[in-house]
Amino acid sequence: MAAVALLRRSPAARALLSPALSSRLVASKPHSSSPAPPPPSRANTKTFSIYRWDPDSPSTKPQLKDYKVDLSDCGPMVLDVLLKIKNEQDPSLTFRRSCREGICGSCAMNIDGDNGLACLTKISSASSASTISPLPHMFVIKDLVVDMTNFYSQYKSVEPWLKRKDSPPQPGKEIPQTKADRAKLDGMYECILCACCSTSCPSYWWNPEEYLGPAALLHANRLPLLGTLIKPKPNMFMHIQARGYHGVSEKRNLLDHKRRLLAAKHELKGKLYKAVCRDPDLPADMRDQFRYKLSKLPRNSSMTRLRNRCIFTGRSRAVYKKFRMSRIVFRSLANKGELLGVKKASWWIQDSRDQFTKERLDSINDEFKLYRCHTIKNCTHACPKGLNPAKHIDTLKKLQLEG
Amino acid sequence: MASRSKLSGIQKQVLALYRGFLRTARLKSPEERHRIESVVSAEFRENARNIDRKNFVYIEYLLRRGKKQLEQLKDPDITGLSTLQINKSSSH
Amino acid sequence: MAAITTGSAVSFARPVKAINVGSVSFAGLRKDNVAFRMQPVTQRLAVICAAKKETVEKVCDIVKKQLVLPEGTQVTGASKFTDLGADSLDTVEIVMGLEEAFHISVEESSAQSIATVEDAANLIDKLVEAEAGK
Repeated sequence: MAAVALLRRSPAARALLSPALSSRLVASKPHSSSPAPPPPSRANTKTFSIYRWDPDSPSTKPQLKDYKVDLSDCGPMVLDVLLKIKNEQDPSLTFRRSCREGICGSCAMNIDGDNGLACLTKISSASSASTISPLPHMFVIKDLVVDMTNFYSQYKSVEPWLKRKDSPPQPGKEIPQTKADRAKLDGMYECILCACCSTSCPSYWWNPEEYLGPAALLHANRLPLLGTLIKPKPNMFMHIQARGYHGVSEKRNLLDHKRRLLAAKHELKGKLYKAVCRDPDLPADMRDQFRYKLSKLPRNSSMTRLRNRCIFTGRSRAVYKKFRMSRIVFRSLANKGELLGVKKASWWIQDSRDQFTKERLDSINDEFKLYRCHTIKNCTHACPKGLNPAKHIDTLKKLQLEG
Repeated sequence: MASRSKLSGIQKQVLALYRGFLRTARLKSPEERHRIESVVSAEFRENARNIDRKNFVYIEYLLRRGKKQLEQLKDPDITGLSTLQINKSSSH
Repeated sequence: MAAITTGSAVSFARPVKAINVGSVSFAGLRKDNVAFRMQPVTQRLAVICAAKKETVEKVCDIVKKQLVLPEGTQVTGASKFTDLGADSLDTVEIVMGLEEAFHISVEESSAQSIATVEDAANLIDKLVEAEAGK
């Protein structure tokens, strides 16, 4: 106030004012998130290696460009760094951002190897360079901006809206839901579709078109089961063969089968010779003779060379006699419900208001859409909102067994 | 231009995209159709001339962009297509 | 020891085969089969069905219009589009023009195989017949 009064008196008085004061009068400093105490004078620079690629100069390859930023003059989050670089050093740096408070999901990117929101990720205090790159295994449009069309179309495909077969109990009014039922939706409704979880899943990297990904599956679980009815494939073997299992034409299975045939052929002879050899009451030279005969039998006729292999994959270990298949195939077929009478020993009851449960489950009951999930759990680690997509995918799988 | 006998997969995709644009252009009004065809044809020929055939990364980027634009164009509410020329300043 | 026995077995086998009448004929047949297989199969130029004259003419007209060819150029049945100065994009345009003129719709795979005026005319005839038959 006093300074302003001084100013009004005479222009010459301005020269008497200290430089700090005068700067404050001329223009207010741009908003910085540092609190009232003045920032420390020593500079604290950190290097950021940022992925750059410009589609307008097609011959250049993508590269990591280094930028040095003074952290003492910058906000605590990675988004602040990006904005500072864009404002002061390189205006061509391109990235998506909107709310700056972790609710819109636009600024999802890979920071130091972990997916997260730039506006919620604090700058790491380590002195080594930080690497900022776009979400992994997505097509890059420019610098840190990726193509999210596939992700959104997968979200759309689970039909993420409420579907009912009949009108609500009181027409024109809301559909009532108990508190307990509403509580079941906690952990799912907060999802902001930032794509951090899906793009951190290796299974999604290898099959982005077919596997729906944790985000879409989380939403599929939220609206338990609504969707177009897709009939399960009739032939159990076609399923398996689609995945690349050749069934009984596996080489190991064929060899094993050959051994079984030979063993059957020489069974009687072998047993006879062996019995003679082992009999202590017979003369030694006779026993030797039969020992020789036994050794002359083909090796593949020995019963010890037979191995019960999985009929689908030819796997020799973890094969169950009852099903003639290995644990992996057993699990996959049982989860799909293709093994008659085999069910998992747990139950679950889902949301109340939605009535298309069965149809929704059927629509993702597919080789790829749900079952590419191998509980890698990267999604839960990556989610910036602290949600647990893996848990909901597990719920979906359990529900599949009931249907 | 590639020899007529064997078109590589990516060339086929480019031609399929071009065909898609021409088909979609038919559905619009006649003047618009003419404009769309000229814009699209100019763009494709320009890129065909300037870009190295082996630069798959950029070609795939253009294909993706083209497919998205085609999807937008297919919408019945969209009436036309136009382009604008941005002259990049030499300072960048 | 074993080697010698097998060797002698082989040497005996041949004369035995020669004596056997049936096997001689087999051996002869085998040689003939080999000879037949040597003949090259160059039947790629087989014309599936001859195209109608009017169709070919119409196609030539459309091609001339699309490619804006000067009046004197010869456009015959066998002329390739590339010879007339068209690149693959022009070919796509020509096919689209043909689609409209004849009220047919051409599939992706068939469209890519068109190289000459003759091919186009054949395809058009086939599709027109298919349309008429429906």
